Amino acid sequence: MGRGRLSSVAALGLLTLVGLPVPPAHAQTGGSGGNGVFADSIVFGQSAALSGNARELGENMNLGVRAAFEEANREGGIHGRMLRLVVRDDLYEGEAAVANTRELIAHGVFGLIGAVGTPTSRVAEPIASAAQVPYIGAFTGAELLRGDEQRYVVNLRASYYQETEEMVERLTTDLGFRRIAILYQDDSYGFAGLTGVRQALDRRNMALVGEGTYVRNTVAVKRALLDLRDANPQAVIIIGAYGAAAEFTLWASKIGMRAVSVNISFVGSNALLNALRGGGDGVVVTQVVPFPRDTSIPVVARYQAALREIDSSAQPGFVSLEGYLAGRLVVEGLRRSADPDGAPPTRESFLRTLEESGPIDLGGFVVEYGPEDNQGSDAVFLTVIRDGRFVPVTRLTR
Amino acid sequence: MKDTTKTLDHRLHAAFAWLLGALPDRAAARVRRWTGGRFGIGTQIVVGLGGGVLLTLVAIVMALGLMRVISARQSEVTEQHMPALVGAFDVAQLSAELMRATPRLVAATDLDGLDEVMLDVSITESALIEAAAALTGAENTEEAPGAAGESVVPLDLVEIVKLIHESVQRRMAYQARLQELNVELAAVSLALQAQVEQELDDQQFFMYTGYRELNGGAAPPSQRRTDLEIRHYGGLLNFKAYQNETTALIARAIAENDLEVLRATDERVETALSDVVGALDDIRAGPRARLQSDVDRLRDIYSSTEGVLQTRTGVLEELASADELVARSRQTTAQLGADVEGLVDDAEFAAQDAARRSSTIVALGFWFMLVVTTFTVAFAIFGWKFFGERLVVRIGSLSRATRRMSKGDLEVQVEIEGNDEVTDMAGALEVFRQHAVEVQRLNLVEKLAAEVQAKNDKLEDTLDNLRRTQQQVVKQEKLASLGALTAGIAHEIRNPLNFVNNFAALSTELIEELREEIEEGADGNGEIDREYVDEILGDLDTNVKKVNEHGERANRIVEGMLAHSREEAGHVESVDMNLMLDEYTKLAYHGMRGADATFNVDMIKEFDPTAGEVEGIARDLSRVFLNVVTNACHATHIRRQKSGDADYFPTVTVRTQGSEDHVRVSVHDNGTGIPDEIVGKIFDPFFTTKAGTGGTGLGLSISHEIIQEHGGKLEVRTEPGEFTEFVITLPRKGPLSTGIQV
Repeated sequence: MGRGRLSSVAALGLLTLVGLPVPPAHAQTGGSGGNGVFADSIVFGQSAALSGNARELGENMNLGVRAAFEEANREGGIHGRMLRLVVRDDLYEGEAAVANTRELIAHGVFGLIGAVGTPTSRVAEPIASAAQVPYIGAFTGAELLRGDEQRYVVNLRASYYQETEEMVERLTTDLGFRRIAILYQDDSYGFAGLTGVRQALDRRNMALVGEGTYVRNTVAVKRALLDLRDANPQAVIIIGAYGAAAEFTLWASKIGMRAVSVNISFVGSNALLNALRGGGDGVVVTQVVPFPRDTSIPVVARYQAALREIDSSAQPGFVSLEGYLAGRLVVEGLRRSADPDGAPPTRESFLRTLEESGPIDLGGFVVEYGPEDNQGSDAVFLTVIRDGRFVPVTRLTR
Repeated sequence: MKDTTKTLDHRLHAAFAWLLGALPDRAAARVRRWTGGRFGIGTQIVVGLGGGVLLTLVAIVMALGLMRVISARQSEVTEQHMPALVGAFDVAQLSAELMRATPRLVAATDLDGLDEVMLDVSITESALIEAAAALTGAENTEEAPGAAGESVVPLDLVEIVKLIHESVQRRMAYQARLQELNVELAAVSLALQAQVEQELDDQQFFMYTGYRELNGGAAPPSQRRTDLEIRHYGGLLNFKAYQNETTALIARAIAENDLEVLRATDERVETALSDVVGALDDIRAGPRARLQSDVDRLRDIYSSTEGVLQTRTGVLEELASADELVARSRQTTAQLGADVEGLVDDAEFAAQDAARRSSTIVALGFWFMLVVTTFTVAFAIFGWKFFGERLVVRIGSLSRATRRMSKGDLEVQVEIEGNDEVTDMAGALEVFRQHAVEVQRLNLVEKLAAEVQAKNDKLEDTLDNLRRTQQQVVKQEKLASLGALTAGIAHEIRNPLNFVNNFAALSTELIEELREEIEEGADGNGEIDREYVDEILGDLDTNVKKVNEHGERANRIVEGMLAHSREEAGHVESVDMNLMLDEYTKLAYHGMRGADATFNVDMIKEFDPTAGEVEGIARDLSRVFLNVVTNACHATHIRRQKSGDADYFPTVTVRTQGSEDHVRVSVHDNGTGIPDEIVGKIFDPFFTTKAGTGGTGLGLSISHEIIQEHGGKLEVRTEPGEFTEFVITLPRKGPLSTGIQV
């Protein structure tokens, strides 16, 4: 399966920074499967959706990570070792994620970075943890990656619970809404969001007025729309992918449902904007990274420059910024854990460095880890689509 | 013995002559040339020694031959059976290894793993083929390969392994295909699900709202739920359900491990697929066309020639086939093990057989050697008896004859039978002897006469010397015995002399008294007491008689002494044994006392009053008694001096015992006794234990002679350190009295 897929992935060309490394075993300094550290490079793996309905997420995460790695490599890498990234398409499906993760670990990557999705991470992370391979910057806010015991998981972003809490907070305080419904993808991602929303509402002695689901990898949201319409919600929190979210928003508008669509960061903001085809004004999206065009933030300015370096046509976006930040975090961690005299970093030294470094300022975006805290950032940012583009806001208005 | 020798010699030589005659002429001529035509010493030695040597050589050659046979048997075992055995073990071991590898082949999960196992297997295989080839080669050398050679079947095993390998390769290809199909199934299933969900979503939304497109208008309610719309909706619902079922069933078929169950599942899949197709009929043309291609893909995934059913069936068949092959490999290996065991048994049997044959041959060799040795020894003995000993005897007799002749004995006849060099020499010697005899006879007589005369003269001289010496010695003995008597005699004579003196002095006093009486009577009252005078005169008469008696006694003693030393022959008279013994016992005692004042002895005399008289020469008998008693006293004296024992009482007992015609005199002393080693020599002339003390060594010798002259016996009983007893037995009338000389 992996082999069959390889050719199609290689065909993606631009998406793949390097080919499948078949490093000579003697060049490795680690044990079984290698530890990803070679004489002149440190190799990371990525399993993400490069095709299917979530492909934009995977592509942009890949783009961001690559931008950060290339930028670091231009600066001399990690004390002379170039960062390399091997990517595999998992179609946003668990089975493929499992196979990819196994293959990447077997080929000896230092860590896995930039995975996309909850259902994929849910099955891939245990494999990585079992192999003691860092699982870094997964594009998911699911609680299941945020346990005390998961020391091989390095989360960058705030959790879905934090996002849904922010959503409910803003909807209830800024807009005074009491009737909140939910549309969620019927999988672990959707349930994670559902749970977050319910908890947030519970804290406010509120309940959902309506619940709708749709099947992953489809945009079959209209039956849910029919269900939710009858509940007459003031806002619909959507825990889904951009296609379904856009479909729902457009059809809701079509049938005259005036509820505010509130999307979670995972939706993929740029993709959502495109999918809405100009019809998404007022759609709210919570973000876990700063606004990607806000160059007043140093790291965002660097991100834009790095992005342009590898793809002049690429537009800044939330997902690739998240990928970039994840890449930056890795670079920072490796640089801090590597001995300047040449002793290469190890997975353990890398993780220990992150745990013990205290706040790490990536340039206006600060992350902090601890022995029982594998989530770097708690920040949730609010964006709204106005006139066909995202604008950062601090509170919602009618 | 001599006769036998002669006969044997004769026969031997006769046999040789016969042999010469019996041999063909040329051979006989050759033998004649070698032996000189007779059974000479050379031939005898050659036959005697050569026979033994010949037998020994035969034995050595036979032993070497036997050793060669044994060694051949042993090498047969080591060179034929052992390599076969080792080879068989190799084959069995390698086969077992190969057999053990077959499940590993079957269990290989991917091609890499299979190649890895196959590499091991092929190494084992080539080793096995090599071993099997070697074994077959080894077996072929054996006389009868038998069942073992035919049934060693490693090549079958190699074939099986090859088949398993091919089967596993096919199965892996199938499994790879199945994996692809699985992925494809998932993709098709997902695609179908997504489509049908989308269609359902759209249809349901339409049936509720009348909207189909975002930019289209709403259909009126009357058009929303027509039979056609409902049929389409139901078709989608059925399609979704059947499609899910089909996918699940195909997935199950992909993983099915039981061929029978797979067939059952196949039926269900076909049913579900036809249901899917049936549902498709209700779906509107547009979506149906979109779904149709995926349904076709689904069907292909399942039932095409490279589909799930065929592929999974292939996998299961290959698994079954591999299992069967593995079982066959086990069977083959087991068979091989049994064969090898049989081979081992064969080899063991052969080894045992060879060992048994070897030991038989060794035993045979042993007995053969024993027989040969016995024959050799027997032949040696025979050779020695018939040739060596004969030769030695004959040469010995020749040598003896020669020696005797060289010493002047020309009378010996040299007669040796046979026909060899010894006979030649004997003949020559006989001729010499006869010549020598002739010469010797001429001057032997006069020479002998002169020699006899000279020898006679010399003998006469010697005889004269001897006689003189004898006389001197006897004289010496007599003097010696006289010396011993002197002291005793002095004492004996002093006694009667004292009596004579005392009685003389008493007589003088009596005479004085008589005179006084006579004078008083004459001048006093004038009367002579007659009674008193008669008394005195009686006393005087008695005294004079006493003096006379004692004088006679002294005279007798001197006479006896003179008689004792007299040299002329004594005359036979009646001798009172008790009287004589008493007298000479005293003499002997006093003789000892005179010589040594410290001498003392308790002299016990037990005289038999009936001892009476014996007719004999008193002088000689007295010498005997004196000698024997003196010896007894001397023995006690020596013992007392030597032992120094205060409790020792020297005792000499002199005993007489008379009978009708004999008198027995015994002199017993508790002195030193006579040692055993010399008791036999005491009667020999000149034997003495008192060397240097004046003994002549003739005392007992002469005593013995004297007693024998009297027809009596002088015997001695003694216990060294305890006693000595001489017993003299004398007839009352001996040969002397009857005039018969002994």
